Amino acid sequence: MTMGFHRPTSLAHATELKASLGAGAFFLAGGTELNSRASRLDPLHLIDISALELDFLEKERGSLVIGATTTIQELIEAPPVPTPLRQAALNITNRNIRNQATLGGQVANNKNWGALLPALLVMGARIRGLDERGNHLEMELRDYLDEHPPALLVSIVVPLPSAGRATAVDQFTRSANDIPMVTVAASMGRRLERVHRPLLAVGGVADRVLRLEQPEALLDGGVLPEPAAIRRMIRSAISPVSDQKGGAHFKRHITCVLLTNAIYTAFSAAKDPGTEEMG
Amino acid sequence: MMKVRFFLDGSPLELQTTAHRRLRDLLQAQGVISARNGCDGHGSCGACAVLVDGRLMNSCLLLALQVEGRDIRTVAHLSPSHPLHGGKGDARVPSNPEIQLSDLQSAFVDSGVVQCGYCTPAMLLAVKELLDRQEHPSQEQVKDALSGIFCRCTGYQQIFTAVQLALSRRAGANDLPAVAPSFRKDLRFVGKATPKVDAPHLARGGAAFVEDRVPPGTCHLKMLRSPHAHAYISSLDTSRAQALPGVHYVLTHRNCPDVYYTHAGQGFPEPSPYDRRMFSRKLRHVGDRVAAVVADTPEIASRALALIDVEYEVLEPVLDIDHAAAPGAPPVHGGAVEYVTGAPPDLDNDGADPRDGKVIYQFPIHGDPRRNIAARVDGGIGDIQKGFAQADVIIEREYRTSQVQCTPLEPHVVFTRMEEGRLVIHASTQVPWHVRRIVSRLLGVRENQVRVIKERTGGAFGSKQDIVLEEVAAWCTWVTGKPILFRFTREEEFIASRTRHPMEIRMKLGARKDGTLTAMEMDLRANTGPFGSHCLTVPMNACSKSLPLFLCDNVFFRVTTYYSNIPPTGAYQGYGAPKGSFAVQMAMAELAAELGMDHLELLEKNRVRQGSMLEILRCLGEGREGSPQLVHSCGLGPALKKGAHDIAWGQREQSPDPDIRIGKGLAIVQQGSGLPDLDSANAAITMFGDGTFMLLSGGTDLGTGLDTVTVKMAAECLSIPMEHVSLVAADTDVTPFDVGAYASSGTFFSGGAALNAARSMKRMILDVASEMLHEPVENLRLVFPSTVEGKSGSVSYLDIARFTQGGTGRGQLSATGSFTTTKASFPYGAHFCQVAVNVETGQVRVQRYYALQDCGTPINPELAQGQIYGGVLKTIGHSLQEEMLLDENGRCLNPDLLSYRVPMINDIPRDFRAELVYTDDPFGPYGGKSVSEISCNGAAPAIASAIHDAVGVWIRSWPFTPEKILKAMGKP
Repeated sequence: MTMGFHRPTSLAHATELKASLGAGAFFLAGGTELNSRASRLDPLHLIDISALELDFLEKERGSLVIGATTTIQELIEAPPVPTPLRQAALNITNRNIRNQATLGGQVANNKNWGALLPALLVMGARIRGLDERGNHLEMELRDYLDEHPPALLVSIVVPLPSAGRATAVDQFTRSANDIPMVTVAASMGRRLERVHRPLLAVGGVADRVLRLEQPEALLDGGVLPEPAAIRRMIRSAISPVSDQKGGAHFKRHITCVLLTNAIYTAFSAAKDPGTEEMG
Repeated sequence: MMKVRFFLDGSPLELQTTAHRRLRDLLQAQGVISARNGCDGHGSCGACAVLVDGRLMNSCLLLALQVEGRDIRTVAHLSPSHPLHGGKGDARVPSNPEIQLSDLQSAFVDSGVVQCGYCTPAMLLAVKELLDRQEHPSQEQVKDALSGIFCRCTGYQQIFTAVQLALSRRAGANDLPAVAPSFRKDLRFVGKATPKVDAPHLARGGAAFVEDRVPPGTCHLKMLRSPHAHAYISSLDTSRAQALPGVHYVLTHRNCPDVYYTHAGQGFPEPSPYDRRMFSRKLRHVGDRVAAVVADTPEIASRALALIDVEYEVLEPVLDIDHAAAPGAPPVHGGAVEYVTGAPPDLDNDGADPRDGKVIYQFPIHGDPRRNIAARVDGGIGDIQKGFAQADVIIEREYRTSQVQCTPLEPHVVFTRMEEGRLVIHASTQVPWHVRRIVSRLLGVRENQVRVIKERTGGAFGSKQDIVLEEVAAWCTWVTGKPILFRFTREEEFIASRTRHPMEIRMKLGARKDGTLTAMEMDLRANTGPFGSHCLTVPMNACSKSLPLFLCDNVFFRVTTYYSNIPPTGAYQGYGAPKGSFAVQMAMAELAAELGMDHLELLEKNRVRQGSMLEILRCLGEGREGSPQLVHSCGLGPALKKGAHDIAWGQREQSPDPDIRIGKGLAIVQQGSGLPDLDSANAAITMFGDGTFMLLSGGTDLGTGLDTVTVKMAAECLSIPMEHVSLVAADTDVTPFDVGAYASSGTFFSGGAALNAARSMKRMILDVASEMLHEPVENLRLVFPSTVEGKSGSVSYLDIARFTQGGTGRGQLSATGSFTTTKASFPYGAHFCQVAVNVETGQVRVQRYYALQDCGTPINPELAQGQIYGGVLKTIGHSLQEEMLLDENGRCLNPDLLSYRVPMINDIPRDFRAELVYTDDPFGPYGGKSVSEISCNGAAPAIASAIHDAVGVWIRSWPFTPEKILKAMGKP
């Protein structure tokens, strides 16, 4: 049961509190996860970061820097947010949750199906924050999800899509407000009718959201294969397990279908910069 | 403790709170009762939603300390004249009926969106937030605004009407959108949309529910529940719990009354076995009762539960029908079997295990508990073998239904207290008189020592037809003298309240080449779980509300119900009919395919019609012999014709998406309107001194609009404004007996009783007027409003009241009415749907759903439509996404609204219609028949047949998951 509630007014104060209170202390942003009775977390102390003014969106050298306490709904409503990220945000169907949940919370919770995480991964997002000693921290989102170091997230840096590059996202649910069984995202460019630097990510098929490097490598530089061939690539790259959301075989199939569709959608939306110039 | 300051509905507040306290709890402590709890803080129901700086958020997911300095708005701020800061139990929002509603609240009331009202404040705030940022929202924006709010009653569809109505009124439009169609031009109120009588109060978030009646100082009851599906308690030590300060009482199998009873709220003698002791050594499901603790606070009660030392002898659980029926299966009830009457001569209790207690049948229903059989029955008409011999085509198929939960937003809850030596029970129940009877017997007291007050229910859907917590709280209050609140958690709602019986139904149909049915055979096996509540009648209803839809000379049915160790089953809206309907309608669809006939053509050829005699009902009584019934009204013909036209039946639709196949399906449905020869209802009406009236009805309104029905009966009959009728309903001290709200009896029986009472009052009024005007009664007529007109003059009801209540008068006019009948009035309907099936993912989207239903005269058309929308959406949920998942030990894996996947507003069909098909029925009040339960019977077969139309596979088990569909299609 939470015994202490702290409301720091500076980043330094927040990290000092965390260092002094130890592992039982959690940073509190929106609270949809930490405050839920369904949560398995049982914080002794909560460090409310709402006064740290981390609800911002700024453009910075070809990237969008999104403050960690920006809510999902604010993300949807902000004009500079790239369409795929907005679409991923809208996949959180429950508006009450979107009004309260934050982007930083989505990242820090690191759910294995995280609705926004595949999109952020294939868009090449990085996180900025402070480590336990208050030192500046900046790392690839992918590394953050893999290592999940204790940190105060300050912002998520999302590179704005380079010219011609396209991203598609999708998810599989059984009902409108269902927790997704599978989430996917694909992002790529197009060069001379060939796939250029594809990035693929899937959620729901492992203990965290994954980048699929092997299929990425197989696709990169080649002509877009037939769907069946892409599905084979994906199938061999994932090892889902059965649970109450679905059987392993079914999850694998759905991942293959959704991600293949996303790859095709992204490829067809991608523009070859060279072709564009010629046109 | 820490200090938090914020603005509540515009006023600054400064309060002390703990770090972990949720905003909802803080608000409730401040008397903000409209922030309701439906999901125990999971954030999945939205009933507690408030506006935080103009944004809708779930107050259960916010710590109180998080709203420091913020602006919190509740539904109270919508009513401009609200006073602030009332105390708990004394609503913040006053119940003064003269208070102005906001335009949004009025639109909700007028559109029929306010059913049980438990989620209404949250819905209103969602729409408020939407309209504050979007002047003219699209339907998709309305859906998005309400996307976080769960409503089990309404099916959400009429919210769009409410928003349109509010916007039109704001714009000053002369041409307001129609709320509902009107019927019966000869009547003033009946057949017309009028505000539901309780809706304004509920739209203001006023005190109405059990939890709103609980004063400070009330004790709390918590239950220690079995972690095992099948076990004996081998040792039990409650001493540490009893020693905990603040604990008043601990109740176990050792000190509970040694009385057997059934949970089922049915008429006595019940066709359900008495197989429940309040607590027993034998535990029969995960969640079965081990011990109850009464303590000063919920926290102390929870701590005490943890101090109870229990050891279990774990037994092999029985979780499905095949296991229950297998030779040598562990008996769920291995104790003695007794009969009150009609014990079979071969009854043998040798080997009965006393630890298992007893099973007592009131009369034989052919159970054999040692073989896990709770009930059995078979019967039929004609010669089934001869019928199959006459057939050119015979099909045999098996259909399965799953265990689904009623999920009323307000969980089961009861508040019990002593008053001047009598026990008072404030209940959220469908059956107040059955509660009183069962509790009285358990306590060993007379019925006049117990009062049951039915408060407004926050949804029931059958689950509150059973007495699953009232008797425990009642006993504890009786023993301790303490006022006690006992409220189920959402998890308890799943594991310890009531669910639909899983069923396996084998259908065999025979038909001639031209489609004429020659034989229908239905072999039904039901899983009743640990107790036999409704174990005979729910499965029988699966037969009696599905087979009579077809005219066939040779029909045979067999019902066998098995005990098991799954969570308890019981009544659920539709009462077996949705499952029987799934099997029978699907078998007809498959027969049509086998015959190469159009499905609609086959149904038309064999369906029931006005004037049909339903011989099969002779053998489908409720635990006794039934009687054949003549069909006096049947709207199936026009329903099928219009539905087929509207959905373009027979026309193939194409999707631009190559992965999507579109198909259409249909089903015809029926139900009853109460139980002839079994049910009864009563009402009384009294004239006040100014010529207005007090109506006392035994009818139990569950949010469905029954109170509005009964008020309309009186107003229509007596030619008075509806506002001149005040109503008290379902209070066993005050109002006359009614069996309760089940079996679709409300309009027909309770409405009928109110009408009969009003007719009796009308005769009295005419008699008095005759005396006052010196004219014979034949010369007199009632004239709206509140006047008797004769040839020589007229008298008002005010005059009549003064005349009768004066010192020389005949006394206050007071009349009673009752309703019983031997006649049946069957509602009918045709449900059509169009689905889109993704052949790659197996996902099904219901694109269009048209429910066309004949409820005779729709007494409240907009509320009747609301019942249809709600019933259909529930069963779309059952068909596609809902299912209780149990592990191999009988533990429910998804006892919460989110992972159970209740339907939300974004789950509704894109084109969703509830249409009322008028028929002239001779028996119901003003021709009214039932409308609610029947709405649950069409979705499963209509959707399954549409899936077949789309992708060519028959899905014969609930739910129709993508996995099942892909597997049936041979994919991946």
